[in-house]
Amino acid sequence: MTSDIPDLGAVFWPVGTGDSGTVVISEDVVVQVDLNHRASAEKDETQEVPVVDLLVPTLPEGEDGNPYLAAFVLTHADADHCSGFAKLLDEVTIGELWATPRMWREYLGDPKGPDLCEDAVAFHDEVKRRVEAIKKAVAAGNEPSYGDRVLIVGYDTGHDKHAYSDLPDEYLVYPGESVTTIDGVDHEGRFEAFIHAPFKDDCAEARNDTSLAMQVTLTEDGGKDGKVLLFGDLAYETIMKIFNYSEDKDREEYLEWDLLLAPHHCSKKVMYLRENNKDVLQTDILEKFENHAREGAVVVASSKEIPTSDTDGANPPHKMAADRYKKIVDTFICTAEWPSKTDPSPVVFGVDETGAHILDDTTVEESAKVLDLSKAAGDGRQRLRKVAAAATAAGRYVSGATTAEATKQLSGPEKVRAAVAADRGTTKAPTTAVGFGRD
Amino acid sequence: MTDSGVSLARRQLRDLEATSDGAIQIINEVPSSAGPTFIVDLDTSGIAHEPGGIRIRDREWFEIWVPPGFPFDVPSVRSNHRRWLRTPHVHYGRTLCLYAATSVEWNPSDGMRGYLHRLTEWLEHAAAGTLDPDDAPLHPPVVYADLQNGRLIVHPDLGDRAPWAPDGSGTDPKTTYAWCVANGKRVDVLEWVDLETAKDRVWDKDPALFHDGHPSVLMPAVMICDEFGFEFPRKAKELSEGLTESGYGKDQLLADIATATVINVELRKKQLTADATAAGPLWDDVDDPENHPLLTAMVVATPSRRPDGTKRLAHIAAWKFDALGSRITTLFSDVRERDEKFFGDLTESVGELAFDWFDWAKLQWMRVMENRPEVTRRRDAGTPASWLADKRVLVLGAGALGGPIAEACVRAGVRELTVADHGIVNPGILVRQYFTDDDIGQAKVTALARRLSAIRSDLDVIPVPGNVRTELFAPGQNLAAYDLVIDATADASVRAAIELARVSATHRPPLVTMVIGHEADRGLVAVNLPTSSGAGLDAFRKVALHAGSGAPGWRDIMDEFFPKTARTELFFPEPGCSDPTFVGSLAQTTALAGMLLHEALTTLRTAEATKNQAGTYPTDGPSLFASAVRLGNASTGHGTVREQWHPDLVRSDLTGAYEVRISQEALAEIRAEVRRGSRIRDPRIETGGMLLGAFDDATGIVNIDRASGPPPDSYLSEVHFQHGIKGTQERVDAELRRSRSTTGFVGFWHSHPNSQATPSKTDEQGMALVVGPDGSSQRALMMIVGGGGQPWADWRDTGNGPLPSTYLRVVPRSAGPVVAGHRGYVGGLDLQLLPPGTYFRGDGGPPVQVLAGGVVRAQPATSHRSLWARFFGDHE
Repeated sequence: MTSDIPDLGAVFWPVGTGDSGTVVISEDVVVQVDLNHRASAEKDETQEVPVVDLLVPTLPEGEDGNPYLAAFVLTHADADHCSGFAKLLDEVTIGELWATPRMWREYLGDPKGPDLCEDAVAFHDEVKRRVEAIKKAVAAGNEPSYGDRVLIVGYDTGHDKHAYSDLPDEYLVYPGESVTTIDGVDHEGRFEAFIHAPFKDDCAEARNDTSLAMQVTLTEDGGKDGKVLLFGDLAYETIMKIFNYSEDKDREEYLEWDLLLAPHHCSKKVMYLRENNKDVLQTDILEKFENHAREGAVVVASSKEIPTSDTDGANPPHKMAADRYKKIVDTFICTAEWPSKTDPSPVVFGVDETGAHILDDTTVEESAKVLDLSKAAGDGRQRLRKVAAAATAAGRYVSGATTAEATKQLSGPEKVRAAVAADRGTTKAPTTAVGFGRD
Repeated sequence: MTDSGVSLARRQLRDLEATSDGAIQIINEVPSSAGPTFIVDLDTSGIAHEPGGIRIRDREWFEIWVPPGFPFDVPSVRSNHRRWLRTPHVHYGRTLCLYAATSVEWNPSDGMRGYLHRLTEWLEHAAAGTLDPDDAPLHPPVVYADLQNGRLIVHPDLGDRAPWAPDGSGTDPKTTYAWCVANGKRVDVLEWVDLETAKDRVWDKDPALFHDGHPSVLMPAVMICDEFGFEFPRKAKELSEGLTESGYGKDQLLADIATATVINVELRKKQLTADATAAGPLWDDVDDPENHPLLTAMVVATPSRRPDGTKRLAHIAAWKFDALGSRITTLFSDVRERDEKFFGDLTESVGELAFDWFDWAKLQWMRVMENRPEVTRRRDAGTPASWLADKRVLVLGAGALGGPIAEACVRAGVRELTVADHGIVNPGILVRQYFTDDDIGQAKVTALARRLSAIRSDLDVIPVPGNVRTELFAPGQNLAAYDLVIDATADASVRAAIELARVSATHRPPLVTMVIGHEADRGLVAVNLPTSSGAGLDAFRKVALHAGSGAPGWRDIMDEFFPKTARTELFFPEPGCSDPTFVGSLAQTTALAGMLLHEALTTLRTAEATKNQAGTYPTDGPSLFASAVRLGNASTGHGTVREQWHPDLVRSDLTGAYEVRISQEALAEIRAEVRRGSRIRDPRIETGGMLLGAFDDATGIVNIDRASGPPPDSYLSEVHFQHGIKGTQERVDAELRRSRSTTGFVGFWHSHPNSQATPSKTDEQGMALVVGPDGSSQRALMMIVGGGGQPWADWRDTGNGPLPSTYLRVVPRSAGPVVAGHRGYVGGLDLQLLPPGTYFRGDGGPPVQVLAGGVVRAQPATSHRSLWARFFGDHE
């Protein structure tokens, strides 16, 4: 862990169960992957986390004078991935939107209109607007206007039925391809997103299974890189397909990871299949994860606290999934518990000349405090720090959601021994004679 | 049975899982005919990590194999990854070594509960890096040996041959050679030799082809200065690369193997010629046994991970080449020998072939069994038995006591052992003695020596089948050949013979004498140090006197070993006139033998510590020790009782026919009486009394155990002592009764406070007519203690300094008629003989006047002091 915040990395916001990831590629290029903005505590289980309010002031200024977000990537259109999009779109100029074909399919498949939240509808409307705008621009032989770009990610067997299918190839990208260009600017050598999913075969599956999955590689000037695997809300079958597909194609470098965002907010469905009303562990996927993990890799669960036990039918996060990840990596992080349940900090993934690592929470907190001073000093390398500082503020919103645990946390061995003692009925084993005689 | 064990483990694990709130999770159960493996996920979060410790994730999976014999057989556990490879107590890359000694640490009743508990503790220690602390016993690197590859027993210390410094530093490897003997799959390293020595032995006129009938073989031994950590490699390539890194290239390796092979081929040829049977078959299947070595193997010595004591000692492994490797290296050695003229290229290509073999061969490690003193610790280290190490011991008796005791001596590391017994093995003794059916009819010592000689390769036990007394303890026999004599014969004649032999012996090794009781529930052992005045016979006399005196804890010992009346119901195991013996099982006799020997060795070791600078035992300390031990029902609450004695004062009697031994107790009583007399009478008045003890005509020893003072009717003056008779017989009878006839009347003593201890004329006359207290005339010991002057006064008042002069003479039975009124020292007191004068009486009363003709008149009543002043003049 380093004592300062580098200029390349990503911030995973502590926003309960939901995704808000901000990738800082350079001072001027910031990409948001999913969004879980909560203006107020709408339901009991969610807390007020005004991500958009906190994020917008940290963004660079665009050519139109508004705050500028180079791209917004939506893995899938569930509320915990796109809440606050309408507000964001309103306050920020978004250079490029990354969308999957899924929503066209949903509108097409259900004449009454799909079950989508307002922000998802807003997203789809904006995507449709941009598709038409680009088509118009292309027809006129022009580049798309500022804030009009869109990238359609993934296959759909019903391509022909959708309006976007008329877009030129540069606005379409498919699994197995890499993207280095954001909002018309190529960032090769600094940023690469390798698209793993959605697969064509899954396009008719449940919405989660059509999530965008990709590996993001961030490379600093000296050549050190950090790799983040993002699987959205995919589950076992699709993730295994991703692993097997890339292994078969000998492109295992696109499976490597320094940071794995635990799919579907640490869902057990990643490694358990339901058979005869029982969850059956699939160890093969654990091996896949472990085999492709790089030295010092971490798993980040973007969720509320991991429960102390699982109940059947409960939504993620699942303890049984967290337990399995803990075996795979040295560090497992739940955004709601990092570094502690009572005082969460954002998970800041940085890439610098020493490689990829999670920044020490105190470094992040300290950086937040000195932010204003640095700004005064005109430090050019501020973007990631600013985002991290804003996300630190987000942590304050969720803090206090849990009462501080008065009792000291037991270590694993202590828990095991407590179980042994409980089962035995006493802390010590029955005394046996200690004597010798044989050798 | 097997299923219930596994079911139990499964049930225990599931119960634990259910109780654990997620801390313990059973991931899977993988069935196998050898017992299932449970994949268990444990919460391992929060374990403190220290430098040098292993890295443990928040959760870890463990593969716990449950053997069918669970819970009596212990499960084993592996990590399911190799991240902990080459860390302490992780074997085969991932097997965790949880227990140092399952026989005492594994608790079957606690089953999987205790197992997981132990596992968590192991993890905490491993993470803290405290599994292999510097003060723990040194766990050598794990070598994955296979018994199929043979066993290598290493006897000699490598010591200074190791090329590394005591702290392990150093760079250059060194090659030495292990001179071995092969017996089947067992190979013993007998000696480390250099190449020249090895060659000399093979090409000598009288080559060292065999040891104890088994063929010799040579192994190169490379000593490198780098340690191997916790695991030795399993592939020849890895080893070869490791050795190369340590400065021992594969060229050198091949050359050393080839050199040894040349010697081994020559050895093999000569062995086959000399004795094809003893040479035995080759280890590997080869068509041409004459041109192949018995086996090809090499020793690899590396410094231990840390010092044991002050030095980093060698850890030894041995790599046996497989058949192909052996053939390739043999071929290489063959062509290399011919190389010089024509075979240059061929040598090179065979060498390349050997290197190819290195690249893919699996290492076959021999099972090394350490017997090097430098790295092993004796299991009896620090026990009293360690006193026996390197001693020359003679054990008399090869029976129920002698057999186990002789074996104990062999195992304790004696340098020489002689066993003596005149008996032969009869069928009945197999019940409790360590003989076999085949031994029946043979001399016991022959059978015993044969069995014991097989225990250690370096010791041949010497049997002496004849008569112990004439063979070993004839008077004048030199006992300097032994450092310890153990008399386990329980034979009174042997005890007497030893007692006598020690009288004249110039060298007296410590002597242990032992017997067990007639029901084999009690035992008695005595230890005579060289400074002791006697031997076993004397020792048992003293035990009888001590036990007979009513000493606490000894009463039953008196009844057992010194019965009031001889036991009439003797136990005769066989018909006819066989020796009577005791009833007792092997368990009893072996237990007693062990207890008795342990007592004796404890005594000897303690005494060893008191030796002075010259290496001899102090003469002013106790020199005789006795212990009585008990078993089971014989336990009186006293367990083992012990007593010790200082040496007797030993003098020869005037005639030279007797050795007179005056006990410390008797000496103290004499001095006490002299002192009392000087106080209540006058320092110049003679005093005396009876000597109580025994004559032993067999050994010519007179024991003086006790001394009495003058009876009240005695007459005492400055020049005369007339022993009275009052109470004397009663006293003698009491002694006889109490000691069960061990001690009785042996004679008289009196003092010469004013002159040397030479008999006066009156004494001479009296001695000719000595009479026992019962009035009978019998042989008696006359003892005079005297001196006068300051030395006398010093001895009398403080007991310091040597006893003043003594006169000792055994007076033969008087020739004259024994009648009442006989003029003797005792009885028939004839006042006519007393010169007229003033006499004190034995009772300490006022002096009397003896007039001529034996008329006694009381003195006028006046104080002793003024009276005495009148006789001698007042000195004050």
